[in-house]
Amino acid sequence: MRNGALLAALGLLLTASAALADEVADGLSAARRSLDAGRPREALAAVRELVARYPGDDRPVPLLAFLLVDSPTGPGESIDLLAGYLGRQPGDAYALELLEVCAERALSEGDPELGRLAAKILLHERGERKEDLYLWAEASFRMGQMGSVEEATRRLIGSSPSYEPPYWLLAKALEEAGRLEEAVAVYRDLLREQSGNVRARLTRAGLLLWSLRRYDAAEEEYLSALEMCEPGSSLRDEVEAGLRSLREERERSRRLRSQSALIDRMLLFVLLGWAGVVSFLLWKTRPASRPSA
Amino acid sequence: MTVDTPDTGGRGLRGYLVLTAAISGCGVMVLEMAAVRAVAPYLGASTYTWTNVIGVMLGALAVGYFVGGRLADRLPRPWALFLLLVAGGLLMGGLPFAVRPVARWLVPADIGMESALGAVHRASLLVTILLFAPPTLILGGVSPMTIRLLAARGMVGGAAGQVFAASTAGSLAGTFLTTHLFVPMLGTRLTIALAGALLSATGALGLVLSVRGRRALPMAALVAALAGVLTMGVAGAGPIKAREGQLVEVETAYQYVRVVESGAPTVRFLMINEAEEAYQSVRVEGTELTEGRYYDYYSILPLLLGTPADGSLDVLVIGLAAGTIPRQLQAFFPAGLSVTGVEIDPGVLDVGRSHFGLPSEGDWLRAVVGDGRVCLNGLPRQPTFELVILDAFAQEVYIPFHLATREAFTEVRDRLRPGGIVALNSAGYRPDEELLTVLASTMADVFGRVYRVAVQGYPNYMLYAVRDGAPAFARLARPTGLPATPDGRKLRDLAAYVAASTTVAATGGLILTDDYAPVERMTDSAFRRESHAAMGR
Repeated sequence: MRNGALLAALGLLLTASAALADEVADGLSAARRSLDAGRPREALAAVRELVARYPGDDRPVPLLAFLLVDSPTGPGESIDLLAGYLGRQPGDAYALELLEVCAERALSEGDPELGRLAAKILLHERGERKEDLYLWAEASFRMGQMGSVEEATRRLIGSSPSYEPPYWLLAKALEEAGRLEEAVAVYRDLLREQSGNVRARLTRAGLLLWSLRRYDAAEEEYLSALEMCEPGSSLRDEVEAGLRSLREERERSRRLRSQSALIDRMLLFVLLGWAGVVSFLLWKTRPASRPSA
Repeated sequence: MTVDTPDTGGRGLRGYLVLTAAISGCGVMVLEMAAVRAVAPYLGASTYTWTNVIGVMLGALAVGYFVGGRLADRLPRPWALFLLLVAGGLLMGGLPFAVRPVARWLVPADIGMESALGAVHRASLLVTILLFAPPTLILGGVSPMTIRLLAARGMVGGAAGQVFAASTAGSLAGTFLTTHLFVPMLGTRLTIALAGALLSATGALGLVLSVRGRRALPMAALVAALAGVLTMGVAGAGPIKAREGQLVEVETAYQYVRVVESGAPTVRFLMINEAEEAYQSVRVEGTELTEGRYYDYYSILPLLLGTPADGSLDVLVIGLAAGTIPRQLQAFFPAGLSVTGVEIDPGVLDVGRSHFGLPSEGDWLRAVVGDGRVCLNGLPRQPTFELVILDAFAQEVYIPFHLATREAFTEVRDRLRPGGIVALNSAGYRPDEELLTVLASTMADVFGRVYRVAVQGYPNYMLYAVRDGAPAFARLARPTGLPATPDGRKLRDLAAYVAASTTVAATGGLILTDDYAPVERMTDSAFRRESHAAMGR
């Protein structure tokens, strides 16, 4: 008798759950249709209502997070929703992909703290994927934590030497820290992997020219880059402009050195001249010697 | 050789000798005050220039006193004193002709040496020794000779007191009149030439009074003619600096200011003192933006604010110059805009109105003449502004130290509304520049987190911080309300760049205070490092 009542209650519960589940599924379908019809606000309102009405049901959460990525307040709310969702539904591939988009969006919109949080969840959920570690490093860069950037990017370069983005980020971080020689070395390492990377060559040349003022090394890089560029390409224009700047700077440097040397020589000459003039005046106006007794 | 008892004539000549000491003292101070102004258009008016001028002139005076004292004992004759005065005056009168060629020879205009600060500082020392020391040395001899002549009857103490008093009174007059009257009214070159002419004329008249011979009058006439020719030559001389595209040059009470145009589209620059490449204000033909210069970065700051509840945008600009910043803000955010601009040099405001479209006092702009910090301190201590922009520079490149201290930023914070932003531009060739880190640390001490963005293509960084909050980066990435014009689109692109490139500024090390803020040293060391690098050292 008691068992029979329990079974009846369970049956009722299952029926009610199925009805609820259907309502959520129907609501989601309707929201998707609104979205497909180009009415994202309507879709957002519908999904928000579903989440509010069925707080225990996780299914609307990814769609809500998706709809909120482009909200005027930024991807913060999406990241919060996805973080909670992934806590309950670990490893959900769609949610993880969406979180990756949110992290990139947070970084491009200048909120590195959020981006870093998203990257941290991604690293936790997906293991150490190079894209996730890079996101984390990029967020750390934007937060001014150059030590973390260096550690992550060097690990990435070590494990995936042909993966290009960490080289750029590491070089930028080293530049920020004033370690310019090391930054140049990072571009050299990248060029070892990708000898035809004109952009890397151009950037290395710029660093050698404008920050380290190593004109010969910079010229060598520009000339190598020039050889690799297609005639008429915009990159070639950039390389040629770089070469022109280099030659102007080299000439300016030569003239600065020569003017500086002229000033030093003249200063010495004038000081000696003044010493002579003052000595002459002192000698000419020396007190008359006393007559001897 | 025996020392003669000097013939100082009667009471009239004795009085004239005292007057001579006063005029000589006045001449020395006119020369000293005007020397910095004379070299500033070519070598700047930095603390180093002032130090060089004051140091060299004190040295020359010391030698002059010593040699003059000995000469007085050997040749205690009034005519010798007056000849000294004539020589010093004529040398001084010739200075305005000599400064430009010598300075330009040492520091040519076309190689941008203004950033090679070390060389420029040495050049200012050299020019001062070469040109300003000789007349000063000669004038230094006037006082001891006058004392010797007046003390002929043994009253040495009284004579020395008379001469020192007269000379110091003359120096006082020279100091105040040069700054407040002569230079603003006559310009630097004419001030120096007229002071030289006055000295020569005093000497010539003294010769006539003391020699009373047939040779005295022609000699005096010759001196007067020479002084006159020099003065007229200076008065009729062309512009202080001549450059293609130069529209105007003005000597204000504070500095030498000029407006120069170049390029296509035409870009108009406001330049100060020695600048050949650096500028204080810009206007580009056909646009309100400045081709990516740091001013454009200030214009995106209102996007980082949450929309103020009352729709107002109250902005304080310290370092208004010719008004590039308010003009841009007015172009992009006219609704509710109210700008208070502080500028120390009224001459710069005049040039702004005549050449840069700086509006006269109106509904949305209030220009205040004064020192930035003093004006800031004087504002009511209540949250008034959404935006405070610190864009003041002293001697071209230095952020005035008293605007970069913890106390100054505290004054700023107290006048910012919650969520309001303070921003400043700092020159920086490298991201690890000590000055950048120290400025960020000082701001962070007051505001918490400080943000930094590099100005693309220019050696500048913008630092900014928010009072009680974080910048609205999402609004910056997707700005609304900007005009659908080419300028509006460019500003939108720039906003996206700032959103994607802003980093939290590195902090650490010194926090600048009103008591200790070596901004000049840090700026100099950045420029020195850059100029050494540029010279391949």
